Amino acid sequence: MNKELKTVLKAFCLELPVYAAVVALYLWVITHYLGDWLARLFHDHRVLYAVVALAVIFAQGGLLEITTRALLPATKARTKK
Amino acid sequence: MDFAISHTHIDPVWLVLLGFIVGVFGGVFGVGGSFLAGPVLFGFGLPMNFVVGTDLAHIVGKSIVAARKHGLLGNVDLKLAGIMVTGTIAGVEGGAQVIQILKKSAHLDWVVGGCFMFILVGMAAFMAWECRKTMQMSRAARNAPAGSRRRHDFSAFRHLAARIQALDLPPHVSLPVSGIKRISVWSIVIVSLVGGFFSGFLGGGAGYIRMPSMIYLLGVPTHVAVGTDLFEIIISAGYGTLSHALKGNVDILIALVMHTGGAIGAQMGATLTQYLAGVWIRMAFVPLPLIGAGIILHGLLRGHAL
Repeated sequence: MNKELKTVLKAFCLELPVYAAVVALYLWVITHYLGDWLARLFHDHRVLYAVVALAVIFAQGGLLEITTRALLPATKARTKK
Repeated sequence: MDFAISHTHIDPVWLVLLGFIVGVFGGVFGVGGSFLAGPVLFGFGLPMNFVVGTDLAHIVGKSIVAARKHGLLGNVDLKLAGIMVTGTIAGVEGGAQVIQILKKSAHLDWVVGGCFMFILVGMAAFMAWECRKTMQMSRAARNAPAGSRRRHDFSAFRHLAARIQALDLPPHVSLPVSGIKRISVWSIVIVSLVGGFFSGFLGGGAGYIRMPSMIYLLGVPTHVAVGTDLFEIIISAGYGTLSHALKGNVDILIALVMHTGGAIGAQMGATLTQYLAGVWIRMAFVPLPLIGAGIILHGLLRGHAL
């Protein structure tokens, strides 16, 4: 296994627990504050629900992309030390 | 945890783990992983109509992360993706209409499940044969420096892709990112139309159809096929999500939970492609359709809806 790949894998091992902690908190916030509202929207306003569903998954996609992008270089730098 | 939209109770840890595994597959192979995610979600107790719609929603989010990563690596051919979107969306609608017709009969599960198994087993067998043939032909490629492996991607079906590229059916287009000097737009549209049809008919993003088609029929290098397919899935699965959400088939909370695992998995998978030659990516893909076929067969024989 080459050196660079080893560094990347080590960085991932460091990134995972940090990411898991962030995600656990994030999911708690989402389900607590959005869960009931989304369920009401699903049952009462289907068109709005469809638009909101697409919007939130896009928004979460962008947010998590920024988060994972920020985490990997930080953990890579730590493993190189 | 209770999900009020679909009236199911699923442990979110399993959803995140499922999302992670499917995310890694997506990042490495450029497929959405619906041939695993769908059956597993069904096994978790999610009704099948929610499985199809929710999986599509989750794929949209996951593909954004992986596609951006592949974009930074230079693996996304935007021109190719733009042309493919038109065929894919038309194909998705066609596949969905066939499902509506089959719903009126009592054989929907077996027809869809049987088609799915046939395609998955056939795909795995074909790719295994092609990879073996390629490795026999390209020993020199394995000895090439690591940086050159990405662009000099050998395939045993170069001659077929060359014939399709030589088709004189205007309009033509050049795809510099894919290294294709000239190809008929109709070749691209037909490939994406077929892929879109399977997406609408079998659910998921149908990357397992589109990605091999891009490699073997259009001659797109494997790494570019992976990245471009992921980018194209964002648009086609986005359309599918909207459509299914309007029909009441999307539990967006389940999709959001799965996606948190998928986001980190997709990033890992996309990074790992840098260290794998194209033929090894294709070889590693071979068992996956077989696992999906096994899960479907198990579900059909046990009496679970597909």
